[in-house]
Amino acid sequence: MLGNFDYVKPKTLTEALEYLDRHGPESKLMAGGTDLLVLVRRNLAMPAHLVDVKGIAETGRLEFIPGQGLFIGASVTVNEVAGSEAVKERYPALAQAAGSLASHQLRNRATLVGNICNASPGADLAPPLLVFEAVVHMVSLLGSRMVPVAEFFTGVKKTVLRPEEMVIGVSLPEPPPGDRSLYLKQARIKGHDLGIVGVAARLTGEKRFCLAMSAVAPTPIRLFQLEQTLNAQPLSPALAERAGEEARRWIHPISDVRSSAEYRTHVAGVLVKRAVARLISGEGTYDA
Amino acid sequence: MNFKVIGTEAPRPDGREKVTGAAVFVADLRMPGMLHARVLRSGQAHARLRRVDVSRAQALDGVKAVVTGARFQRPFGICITDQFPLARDKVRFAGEPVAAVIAVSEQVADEALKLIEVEYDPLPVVLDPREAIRPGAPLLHEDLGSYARVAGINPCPGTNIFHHFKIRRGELEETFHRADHVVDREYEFPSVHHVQLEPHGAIARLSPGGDLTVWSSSQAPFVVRHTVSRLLGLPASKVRVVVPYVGGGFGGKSDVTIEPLAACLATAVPGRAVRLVLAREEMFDGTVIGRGLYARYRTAVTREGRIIGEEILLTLNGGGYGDYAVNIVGGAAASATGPYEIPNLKIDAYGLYTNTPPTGACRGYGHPEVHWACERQREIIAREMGIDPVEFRLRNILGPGKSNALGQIMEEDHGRVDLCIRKVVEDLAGPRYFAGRGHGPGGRPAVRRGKGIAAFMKAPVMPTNAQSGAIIRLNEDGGATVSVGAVEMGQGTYTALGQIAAEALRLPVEMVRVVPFVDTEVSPYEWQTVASHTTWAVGNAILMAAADVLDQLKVAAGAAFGVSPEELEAGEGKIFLREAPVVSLPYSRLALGCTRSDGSAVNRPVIGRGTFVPSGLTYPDPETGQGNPAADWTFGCQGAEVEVDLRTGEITVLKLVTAIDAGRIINPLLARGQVLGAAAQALGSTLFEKLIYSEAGIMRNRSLTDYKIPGPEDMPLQTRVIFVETPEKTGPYGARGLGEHGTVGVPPAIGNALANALGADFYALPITAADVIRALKGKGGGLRAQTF
Repeated sequence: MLGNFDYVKPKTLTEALEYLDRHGPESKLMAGGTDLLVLVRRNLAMPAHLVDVKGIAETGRLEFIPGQGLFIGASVTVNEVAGSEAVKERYPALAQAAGSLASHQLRNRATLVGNICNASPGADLAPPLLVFEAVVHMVSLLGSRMVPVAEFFTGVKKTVLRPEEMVIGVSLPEPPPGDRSLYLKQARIKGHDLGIVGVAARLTGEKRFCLAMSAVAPTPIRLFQLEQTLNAQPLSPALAERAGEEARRWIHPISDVRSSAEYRTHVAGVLVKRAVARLISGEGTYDA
Repeated sequence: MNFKVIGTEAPRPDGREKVTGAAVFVADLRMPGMLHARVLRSGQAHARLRRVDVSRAQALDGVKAVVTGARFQRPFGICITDQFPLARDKVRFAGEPVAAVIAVSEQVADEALKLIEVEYDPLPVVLDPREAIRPGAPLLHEDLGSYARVAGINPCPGTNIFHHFKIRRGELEETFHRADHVVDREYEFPSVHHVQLEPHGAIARLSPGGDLTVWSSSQAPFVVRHTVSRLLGLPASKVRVVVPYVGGGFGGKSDVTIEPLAACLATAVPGRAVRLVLAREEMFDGTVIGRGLYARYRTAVTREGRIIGEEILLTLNGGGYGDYAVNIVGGAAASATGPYEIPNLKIDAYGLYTNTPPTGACRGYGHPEVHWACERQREIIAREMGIDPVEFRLRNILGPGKSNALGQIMEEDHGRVDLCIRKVVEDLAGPRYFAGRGHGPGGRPAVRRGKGIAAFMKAPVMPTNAQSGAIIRLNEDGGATVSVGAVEMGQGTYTALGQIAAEALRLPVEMVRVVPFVDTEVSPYEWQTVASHTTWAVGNAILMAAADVLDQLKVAAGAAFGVSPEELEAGEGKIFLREAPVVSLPYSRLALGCTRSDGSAVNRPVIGRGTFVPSGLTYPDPETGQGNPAADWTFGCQGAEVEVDLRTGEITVLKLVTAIDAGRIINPLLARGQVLGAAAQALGSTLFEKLIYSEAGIMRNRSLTDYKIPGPEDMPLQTRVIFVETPEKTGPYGARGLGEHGTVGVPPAIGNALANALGADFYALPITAADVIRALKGKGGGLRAQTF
C-alpha cells in the first residue's frame, strides 16, 4: 500500500532541477513508474517526493540524426524505442531488447531511461546500450555532464546519478555501415518475465566485437577482456565456441528465486556462443 | 434424443459485461459508511506470541478499531476445528493474521499496522511433510486430540498427522513375493498457488438489529454462512452471504478463507461495513496454497505385464492448519492407482501439519498430484519390462465389471478410458508412437523431441449427501428465471445451467436467465461450487424444478381446457393437446395464473423447485477404505509432444492433446475452454511453478514478479480436445464433470514425453531448463532426474 509522498510534475527542466536542488535526497524521479511504483507499494522505497519527468518537453525526444546518432529522451517509452524504424534498422540489438522487456502494456509505460536508472542487474536495455557505447546525459542546476553507460552503473540498484541530478536522455553514436547486432535472453517462461541472462552482441563493420550481459553480475557488464580475445582471432565457428566458454570466466552470477548461479553460468555461455555464431554468419539485422 | 439447446455453443450471458469491465466483483462494491481493514501478518513461520501491543495503532487518527486474537476465542473449521480467525497463542505459518486494523481508509489502516508491536518466541520450523511425520519433529498442534472433528477424520494426537487415510485390499506381501518385477520410485509435486485473477475479498456488516451480511468472493457461500454463524453464535437465518461474480476460484476460494476474519472484524464496529480485499502478495501467504505431495510407489508386476499389487505412501503438506486439506488426503488416496484395476493394494495417505500456509483445494484436488506419480510409474514399468506403454496401460485398464481401489464396480455408462487413450495416441502420432528415444527434427542436432501420454480418472470428492437446489420462477412473458446456489467464477456454469433449464422447459435459451449471483437469503442451498460437480448436481436439481414447472403448467392448462394433464405436452413455450396441437396455451398466459373469460383465476403463479443429493453414497470403511464414496468418474487421457533445446535446456510443448469422456457435452465451446484452461494451468505447475521458502519458512516468491504462471506464449503451438461422449446415467442429459480434469494428466504426459526425448526420468516438478541441463550433464540425482 502506498505511503505518503508529494507528487510533482514540473513543466520545465529548470523547475524540475530547482525542485531536486531543494528535495533531491528525499526524492525519486519517475518516468513510467513501472519499477518505482512496485517498490513504493511494497514500502521498499519510501520517497517523500515523487518527481514526474514526463511534463518536461526535452525528455520526450526520440530522434535519429544522420551523422550524429540517436537520442532517446527520459520519457520515451520502451515501445516507442522498439517500434522506431531508425532503431530497428541501425540498432537491432536495442530494438530486440526493447521488444523483450516485460509485456506490451508495460512497455507502453516503461521508459528506456527508467530501465537504466533503476539499475537492476537484470536491466534488459543496459546490454544493448553498452555495446553501442551510449552516453548518459545528466543535468543539475550546476550544469550538465555526460557519462558513458559503462561507467553509469556502480552497484545493485546504484548509479553515478547524484540526488540533485536527473537524466534527460541517452545518446548512441551512429553505427558505421556493416554493423551487426542482436540481443538474446533466457527467462523462466516464454512470455513476460525478467531475464535469467541477457546478452547483447555486436560486430562492427571493422570486425570488432562488443559484448554485454545482464543478470550475471551486480551491474550489467561489458565483457571487454573477452572482446579483446575475440578481436585477436580470425572469425570462425570455433571462435563462437571459445567465446561461450570464456564468457563464463568473466561473470559472477548469483542464485535467486529465478535461477541458480550454476544455470546462469551455463546458459550465459550458450547465449554468448549463439550470439557470436549468428553475428559471424551475417545475422544481426532486425528480423533476420 | 433430439436436443434443441444441449450440445450447442450458446453464448455466455456474462460475456459482454466481463470483457467490457462492467461486471461487478466484491472489490467494486461500496457501502455507505464503509470502513477498511488491513491485516498484520506473522513474519515468523512458527512462534509463540509473547506480546501484541496495539495501543499506538489504536491512537492513530482515523483508526476505528484494532483487533487481536484475544478478542475471538472460538475456533472454527469445517472438518477439524483447528484454527482461529486471528492467531491466539501461536503462529503456525508466516502470513498468518496476528492483528487487524479497521480504519477510514486502507492507507490509514496500513499506517496503523506499522505501529503494532509484536514479540515472538520463535519455535523450530518444519516445512517438509516428510520431516514433519518423523518422531521428534517440531509439533504444531499440541491440542490436536481435543479438536472437534467430523466423522471419518483420523488424526494422530501427539504428532503432526491430522489425517491418516487407509486403503487395504487383498494380500500385499504374498503378491510381492510372486511378482516378476518390482518398481519402486518416489515423486514430488511441490506447493503451488492458484493465482486467481481476482484477489480474495469480503465485506462484512453487523446490522444494529444483530444480523450479519457478508459480501464475498467465495465459491462456498453456504459454508461461509455455516462457519460464520457458528463462530459468532448467530442463527444461520441471521447470517446472509452474498456472492457476486467471482474472478477465478480453482478451489482457493472454496470452504472459507478470509470470511471468518471479515465477519469477526465487523463485530468490532457494529453498524459499519468493513471491507477486506487482499493485495496480490497477500493472496500467496494469506489464503490457501495448493498441492504439495510426496509419493512413494512400489509396484508388483507379472511377466505378462499385469499389475498385481501396489504399495503407495502419500505424504501431503497440509500447512499450518489441516482443515482445508483433510479431504484431499482421502481423495488423493482413492484415485492414487489411476484408471487401473489393481487387486492387491496398501495405500497410506497422511496429511501433515507444517509451517507453510495451509493447503487447500486446487483444481484437481489430489488427482494431479497422484497422477504425476502413478502415470510416471506406469511409463517406467513399461519401459523396464520392454512392453509398449500404451499396451501396458490397456492390459491393466479399468473398465466395465472391474473394480477400482475403493471396491466400486465400474459400469458401461461410467465412461471409456481405453477409448480416450486410443484417441490420444492416434492423434499424437499414429500407431508407431513410442519408437524409442527421441530425435531432433531435420538439421537441428541440438534439439530433441519426444512424446508421452498419461491416462487419468477423477471423481468428485464430496460429502455423501452433497446438496444442490434450483428454483424456477416462470415470468409473465413465458420466460424463466432460474435461481441456484452455485457460483459463477468464470467457468461458465450459468451458461451451461441455463441450457439445461431451457432444454428441460422447452424454451429457447434466450428466454431463460440464471440469476447471476448467490444470496443465501434467497438462493437455494448448495454445498459448494467445487469438485466439477455443478453441471451434474445442480443440473439434476434444475431438471427436477423444470419437471415441477411443466407439471404445474399442465395441471393449469388441463383445467383451462377441461382435459386431464396426461393428455397435454409441452413444447416451444406452449402447453398443447397431444392429439390436437393447435389447442394450446403459451406459458406466458399461465405463468402468473390464467383467468377464464369471467375473470376467475384458473391457476396460481408457477414456481418450480428441485433439490438433489447423490444417492447411495457411503463413508469408506475406516480400516480398508472400501465403500461407495464416489458418485461418478470422468476418465480421460492426455498426450504431449515436447521439444528440448539441448544447449539451454529450454522446453517447448509443441502439442497437447486431451481426450475426455465427460459424458454428454452441454456446451462444446465452454467445455473446450475449461479443458484447455485447466491444461494451461497444469502446464505451469509442470514447467515452472513452485512456492519457494527460506529456511525460516518465509515465502520468497510471493508476487507475480517472482512467481510466474503461463502466458499466451507458453501455450502449446497445437492444442486439441477430443470429447468421447458416453452418457452418464446419473447426469443431466448424460453429463459428467470436466472443469478440473484437464489438469490431471498434463504433468505426467509432459514428464513422459521428456523421458522419451532425453532418456532421463524426472521425478520432481517443476521440470525447468536448469533441471534438463543437470540431467544431461549427469548431475541429476535424488528426485530431480536420473538418466536411463
